[in-house]
Amino acid sequence: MNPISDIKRFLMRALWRLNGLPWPDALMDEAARQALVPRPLQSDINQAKRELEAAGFIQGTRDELDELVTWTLTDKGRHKAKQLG
Amino acid sequence: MSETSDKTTRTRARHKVPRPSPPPPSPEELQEQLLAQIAYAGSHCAEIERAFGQNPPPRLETLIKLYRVLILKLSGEGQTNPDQLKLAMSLMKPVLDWERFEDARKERERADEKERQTQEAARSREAGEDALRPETLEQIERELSLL
Repeated sequence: MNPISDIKRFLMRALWRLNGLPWPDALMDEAARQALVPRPLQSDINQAKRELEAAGFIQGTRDELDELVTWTLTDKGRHKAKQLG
Repeated sequence: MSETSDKTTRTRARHKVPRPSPPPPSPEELQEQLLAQIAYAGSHCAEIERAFGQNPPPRLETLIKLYRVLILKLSGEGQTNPDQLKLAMSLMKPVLDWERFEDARKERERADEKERQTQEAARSREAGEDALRPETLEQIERELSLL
């Protein structure tokens, strides 16, 4: 079992369900910790996010005022997430 | 005879066999439940933001952002009490009601202003304030006679 791919799959499915609503970074991490057994490490979650971003599936935006990062799916990511269901 | 059978029935009723508790949800089921919560929260937040329109006032925009974070936080927690999420979702209702009330008040003020302007125009027409001045009338007659 590859924990990184499980995390990536969950994040993609969850972002698709948000339908374009930006997901704050910290809440995304917490949801990933709650959704997977065994509870993933933060380093694994960070790696999953990095890989998804590098592959062009998700994009992060930093708020100008509070510098908090939020994530959304790219067009490529939406297409992929739809396949995952 | 009937008394004995009644007694037997009552004894049996007192010693009821407890129902087996449902098995705990599997990790996959928990994940699906969490995803469903996230989907519900997402659609609710989108509905709220649509209700406030494209460009809400800055004070409302801040409130909407905070509200979104709260709802997403609660929805992303596996052990969230559904009542807690519903309670949080009901927090925005008074704000929505207030916003509708404000829109209705502004609309009423616009209608009153328009009515006031219409009445003023009617009053000035009756008083002949917009009638031609004698000097203007003379000028027009001079120009017409020149033609």
